[in-house]
Amino acid sequence: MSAPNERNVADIRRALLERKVRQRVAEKAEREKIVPVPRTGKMAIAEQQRFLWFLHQMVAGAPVYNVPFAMRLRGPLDVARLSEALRGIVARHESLRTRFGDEHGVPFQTVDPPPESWDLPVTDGSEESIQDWIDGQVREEFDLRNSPPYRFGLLRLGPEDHVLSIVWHHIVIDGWSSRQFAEELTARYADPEGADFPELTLQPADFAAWQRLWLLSDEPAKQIEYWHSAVDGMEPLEWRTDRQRPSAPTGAGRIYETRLPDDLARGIRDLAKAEGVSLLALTMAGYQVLLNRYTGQQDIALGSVLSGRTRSEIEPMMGFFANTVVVRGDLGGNPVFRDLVHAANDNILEAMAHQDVPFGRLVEELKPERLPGRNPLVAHLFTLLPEQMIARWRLPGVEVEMLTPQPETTRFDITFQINDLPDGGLGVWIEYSSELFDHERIERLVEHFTTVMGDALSRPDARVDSLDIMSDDEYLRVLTAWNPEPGERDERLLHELVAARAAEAPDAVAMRFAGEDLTYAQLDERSSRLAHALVEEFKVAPGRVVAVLLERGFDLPVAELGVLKAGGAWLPLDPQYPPERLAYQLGDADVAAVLTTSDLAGGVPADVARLLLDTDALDRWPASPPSVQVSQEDTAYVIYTSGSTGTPKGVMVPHRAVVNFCTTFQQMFSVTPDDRILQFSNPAFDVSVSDVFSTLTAGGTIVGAPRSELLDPEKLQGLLARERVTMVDIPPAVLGLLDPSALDDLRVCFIGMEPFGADLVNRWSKPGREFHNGYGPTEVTVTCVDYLCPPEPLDGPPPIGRAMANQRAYVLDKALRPVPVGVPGELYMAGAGLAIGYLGRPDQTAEKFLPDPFATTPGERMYATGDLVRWNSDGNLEFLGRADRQVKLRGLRVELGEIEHAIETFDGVRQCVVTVRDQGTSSAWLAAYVVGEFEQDALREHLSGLLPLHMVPTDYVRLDQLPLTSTGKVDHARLPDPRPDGGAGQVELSTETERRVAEIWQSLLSLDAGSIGAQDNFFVLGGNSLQVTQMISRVRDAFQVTLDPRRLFSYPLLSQFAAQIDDAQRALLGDDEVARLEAQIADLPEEELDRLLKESS
Amino acid sequence: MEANYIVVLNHEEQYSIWPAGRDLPAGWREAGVEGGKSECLEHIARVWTDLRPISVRR
Repeated sequence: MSAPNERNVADIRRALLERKVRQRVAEKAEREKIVPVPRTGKMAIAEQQRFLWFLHQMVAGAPVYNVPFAMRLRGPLDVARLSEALRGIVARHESLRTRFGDEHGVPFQTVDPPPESWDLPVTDGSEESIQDWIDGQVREEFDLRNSPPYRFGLLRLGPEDHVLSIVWHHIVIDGWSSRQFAEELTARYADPEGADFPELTLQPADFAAWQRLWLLSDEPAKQIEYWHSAVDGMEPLEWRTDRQRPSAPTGAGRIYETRLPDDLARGIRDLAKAEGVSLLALTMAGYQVLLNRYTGQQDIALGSVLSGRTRSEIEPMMGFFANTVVVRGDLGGNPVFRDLVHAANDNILEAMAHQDVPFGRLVEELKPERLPGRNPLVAHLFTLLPEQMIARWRLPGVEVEMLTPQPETTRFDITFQINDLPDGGLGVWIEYSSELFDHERIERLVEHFTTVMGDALSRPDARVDSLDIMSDDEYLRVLTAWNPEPGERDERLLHELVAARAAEAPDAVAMRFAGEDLTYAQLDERSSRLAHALVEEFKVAPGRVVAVLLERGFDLPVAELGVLKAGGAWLPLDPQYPPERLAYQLGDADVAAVLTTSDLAGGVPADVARLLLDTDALDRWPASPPSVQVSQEDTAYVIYTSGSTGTPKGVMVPHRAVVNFCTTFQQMFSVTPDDRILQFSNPAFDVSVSDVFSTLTAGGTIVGAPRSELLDPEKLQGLLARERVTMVDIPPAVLGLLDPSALDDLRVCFIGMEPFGADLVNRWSKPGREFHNGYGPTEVTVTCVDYLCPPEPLDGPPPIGRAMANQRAYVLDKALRPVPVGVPGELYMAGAGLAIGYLGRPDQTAEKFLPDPFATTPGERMYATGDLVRWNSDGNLEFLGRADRQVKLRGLRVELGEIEHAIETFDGVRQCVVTVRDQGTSSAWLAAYVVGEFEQDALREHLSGLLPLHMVPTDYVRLDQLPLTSTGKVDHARLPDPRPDGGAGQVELSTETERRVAEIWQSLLSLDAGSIGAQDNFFVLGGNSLQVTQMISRVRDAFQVTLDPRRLFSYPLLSQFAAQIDDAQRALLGDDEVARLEAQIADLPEEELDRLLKESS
Repeated sequence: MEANYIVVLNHEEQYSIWPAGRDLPAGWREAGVEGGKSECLEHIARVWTDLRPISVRR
């Protein structure tokens, strides 16, 4: 009988073990349970709340975290019963009776007793007042320190017609809770006596106490460990906004609500089911594809909100438990859409498993780069509101219609929320920053999302790269509709057009210079003689280059035209070039000869043939042109441009391109023989080609002057008036120095080459005078994109417009796909303006002139401009900067051109260049080199109002002029070191306030004593937004003044901030009191002052 | 990893490069060379000796 016994012993052992395990688990669970804690005056708050509380301080007064519901109630409403139902809810849920205070920057909560009685405030109103009233209810700030965190109100429109507004602060309630609130309200209203709601034994304050202990356990460390690896190397999402991000955002926002098409919603539900993934995962994958196209980034990190109800005890509680998590999508390697969906699903499941670490805690742990005015880690949310969390508002006997209050605030840059609607449809609810985005942009976002989801559903096995985000309509718009229809082109040669004018009106004046005239007949005759000389003596033929080294004057058009008549291409050279540069270009272009004058010939290398135009060398040649065979594809001129790297290259521009430009110019401006056009541009740049040949091909008069006269604003002004100039193409900086009032004949300002502001346009544009913004690289012949400014004043810099006649502009991403409206891309140009290529550089030509995949004629090329642009919604191009001037500053994309542009808008600044120092290190900083007269602090303040703080340069160096390379570009290598003595010279602290502020900063930022100077910047020292709030609190303790935290963003230097404190203290006392104190001190003898100072220190 | 390109040319014997695997725009044909960007450009530097369109070469 031993066997059964043995079995019994085994069973008993097993049973004992089971009981032990059960006990231990129960004990453990007991220890980990949320339990009621005593209610004291100052209780801990949950981490989620603490984070929100800080944010609430940051937005000072803006109702960013107010959550509104508003509904129209039609039918007999029992107001007393409704009041009592609301009071019942407030009495049952402590969160609605909670106030928040702080000590030394650390927030606490206090729970008030349940109200004995409470009446719903009732206001009388009318149909017209509804929206204003509900908006007013949500926009009023909550005083979390002294008042309840909710506001309920009723608007009475009639005896049986009401509007109920329910607003609370997000710090006490979340999406999950609103559903509970609505259900409890329905039940209490329906049956005030019978509604049986068990008293809650646990409330949010108990959770907060429990969470404090939980945060000390091992579990959060494991979750944080997960998040560390999950966000490792994460790139912030850099979606280019419609407007510059302000340094102190107000949180202004809008809500946009719509619905996805029903068949798309069905398709999404079907695919999610078939793949076994969540709706969130499937839709998020589509959104990731979209953002990949918008930003060009492969690492798409989005925030998403999860309910936070991970413990059963929390479920009945009304409170703020929801939590933001980060979900990353990796589009590197161009995955198949289906795989991207499954990856999203896995990532979301992982995030759910690790959602207990409050987002604010995560931010503190991960210490991401903090930027004022920008949410940390993720500023862009994609989230799903599940059907179970959509609040249903119902009151028996009353018909409820939901209204949409507009809080006009936003918490993130964009929150894109899919609503899982009970009717099977999918809603889209978007809250976006109206400071950053236009409404049209958000509508297009939904359009693109709809398109990409539709395409992905139809072929889930496609690679994400091949999915369409743009509809066919949008493709047509950006590729065809916003480019001009191809028109007739003049097939003559450039010099033939001029010859025709000379034949029509031989005695008309072709050029005015220093009070003298050159007639068309003289120009024609002399250039023909030159052509003979070139053909006969120098063997010039199509394809050969002849250099033109001349000062401004009549010889210049004669020489250029003479080279064309000989069949050659002219190469203009600037007499001011250093000899090495001259020699380089002459050799590189293998010139047949140099056309010059005796005084300049010394600069020409001895082995290069020359022809002196100030001698009688031409007189022996015939006055009619030589006969040569030239084609429109032969080169008319070669102009050297410098690339961002390497040596200058000669751009070969054919007759076809320059003829198309000149004829377009004539049509655009209706040029007639009566026009007098200024020749301002340096002849070595292609704008001079326009000045000379747009005029000569139209039969007009070129107005020229020596360089010294053109560069002197007073003399230039005199010239324009005296010569009654009708059209100018001059740089914006030069135009800005002139006075528009005295120039009545000036009917066209064709301005370009660099961006300019609205002021210039508004000052010069007037009825009878057109103002154009022109854009064009040498490779596309002078100007290829143009914008005619409207007659009404502009409020921002003008766009560059659209492609000119017979040209096409494309905005493409790195994979050469068109990008949607509003999305930055590189500008490509195609059509009649294209150069042949770079002289003697087939490889560089092939790299920049690519096959045009959008051309209607086969075999055409397009030119990659290297400029970053985007389409605006009217189909005009906006210039954004050079594609290669984008740098990374502590992981953030920074457009140096944007900063330079902002600096150049400051009064007194003429020119500037911004560089990154210590690039690639965590202490990288920006230095601005500025030419002009300006006050550094004023410039810095000006910039902090225009740019996000991380884009405001730390150092400013005033220069008399920027060092230039021989090609005229800024020579970065020769910019001086802004900190020649090795680091920033620390400026001594000079006032008692400064010393005390320095102590506060030191302890807050954990810096060594004595390491902070008066000119140190809080943010550069490592201060972040959370520390701003703490700092303000410590300043309040030390100085008894409360400063608006945003003030620090405008005055980030220690000396500036200390001055703000001094001002605030004086303001507190009042002028009289301060004056009285000053008078007292003024009367004291010196010894007494000394004694008092020693005493106080 | 450097992306792959092919060397292409059009009816005017103008050379260029194009991402390998992408549909070739109409009017262009392959020159039979595929490789990294610099490799393709080096090839073009060797073979494309006259930049003028073939219709105007004399």
